[in-house]
Amino acid sequence: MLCDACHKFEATIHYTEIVGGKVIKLNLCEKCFKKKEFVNTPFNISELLAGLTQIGKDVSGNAAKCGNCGMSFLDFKKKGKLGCSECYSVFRAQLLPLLKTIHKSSHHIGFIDQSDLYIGEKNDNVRLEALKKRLSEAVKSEEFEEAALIRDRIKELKKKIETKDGN
Amino acid sequence: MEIETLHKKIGSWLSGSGNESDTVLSSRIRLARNLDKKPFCHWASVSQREETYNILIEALKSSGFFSEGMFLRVDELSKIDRMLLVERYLVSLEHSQGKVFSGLGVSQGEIISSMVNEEDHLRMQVLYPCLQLHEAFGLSREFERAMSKKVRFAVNKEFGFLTSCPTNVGTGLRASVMVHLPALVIDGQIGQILQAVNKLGLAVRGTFGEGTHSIGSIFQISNQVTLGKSEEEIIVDVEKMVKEIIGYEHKAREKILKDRRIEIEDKIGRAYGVFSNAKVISSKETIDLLSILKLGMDLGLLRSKNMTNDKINASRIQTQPAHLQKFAGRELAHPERDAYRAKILKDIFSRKRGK
Ligand SMILES: [Zn+2]
Ligand SMILES: [Zn+2]
Repeated sequence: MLCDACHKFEATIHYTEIVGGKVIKLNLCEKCFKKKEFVNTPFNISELLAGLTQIGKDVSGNAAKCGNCGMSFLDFKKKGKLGCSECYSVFRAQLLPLLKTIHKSSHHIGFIDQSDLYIGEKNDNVRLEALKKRLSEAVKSEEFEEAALIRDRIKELKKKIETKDGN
Repeated sequence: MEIETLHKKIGSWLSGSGNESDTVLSSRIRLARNLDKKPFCHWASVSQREETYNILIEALKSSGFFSEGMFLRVDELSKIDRMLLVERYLVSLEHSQGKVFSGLGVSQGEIISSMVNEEDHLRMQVLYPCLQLHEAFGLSREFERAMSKKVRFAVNKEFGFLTSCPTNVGTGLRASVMVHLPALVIDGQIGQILQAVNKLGLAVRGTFGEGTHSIGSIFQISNQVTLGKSEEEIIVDVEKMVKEIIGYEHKAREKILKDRRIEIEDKIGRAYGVFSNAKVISSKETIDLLSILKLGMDLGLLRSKNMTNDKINASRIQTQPAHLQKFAGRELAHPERDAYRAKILKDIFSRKRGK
């Protein structure tokens, strides 16, 4: 039996995968099995995007570009991968239906350590003020899990500032 | 810890002791993270890859989770060393291709590892023996918090942690469990069971030999969805499914013991005979026979009391091509490998308990 992917070499590995309700059976040679790209990405993002959006025909949509990394929507469609974290904001409208198809949801509900957002700030006192502001926001919007995380971070930071002052 | 001696021992997550050790080999948590605003790996220039490499390796080194561990530039390793890391589940095949500035951090005992500049800037992995997804997740959270004090991860409120591929966005979490289901394979029920798994949005992976017989009856069950579910929900879903499947496996074991005892005992005896006497053995045959031997051990049908899960795991890992060649200290051609494998297997089997 020849390899399903390259049709050149003898298939020695018979791979079965059940993803998203579909059974994928592949007979592969060792070389193609090692490449395995189609196995790791059960969704073909490019195909999904073409099917989901009419933007494929809209030239201006394809040309939209991320100011941070330079990726255009056309690049994204071709690669199936985004260029940087900012791309998520730039291509948000196109991403929403895609995420709904892949995940049956387009909104994160897991952890976000909000205090991470201030890690870039070097000055501890500035960070402390920023965290305090975050905390009151989180309490106001009843995001208690986040609030608890931020409170922990404030405690840690206060201790750090105290010991530094003490020395 | 260094790569030159890595092959001599197996990772401590392969000890085989823990919950459901008769059916569950290991539990794995993987978190995908990226640096805020830095171009994702596939879109980055060489100097940008170098920058993320330096930032992340520095952060990993100071995270406190890698004392006595090791850090490697995967792209500077030999082909055999790179394959060795794949055989040990420390890097993906993609990462083993060795694109420039591909990094890896491994903790002592190989419980924690992190790929740098794979599909995402950082892939944090925690491996635990047997069924311990919650424990593995707990450790991965601690590790992640330590890292998030060092670097700024790409995250936003709407989409959670932002990943290079939208299939991982949100939690960036992949929870997977490796299960051993020989009775369901022998009994022919495996197809139906695996079909049912996807109903919860889970994926099953297995490597199959001729026909429907999987190699070694080993399957990996993992979540597919990463967005719109909390970490806890994802883990509970995977765990629930695993428990259901191993329930079926236990029933199938009772059934084959009742209906086909002689046939099973014969298979086990023959497997033991092959390992004790073979002079040449292929990788596929090794993995298949190890599966039978493990079944024999778990059913209490093995006469030798010298058999343990960690020996079976060692036999599976240390007889793969890169491991064999590290033991030999040189490249081995194909026919030579099968002879060397038989020798290594004999060594492992004659080891004393607990060694
Ligand atoms: Zn091929
Ligand atoms: Zn971008």
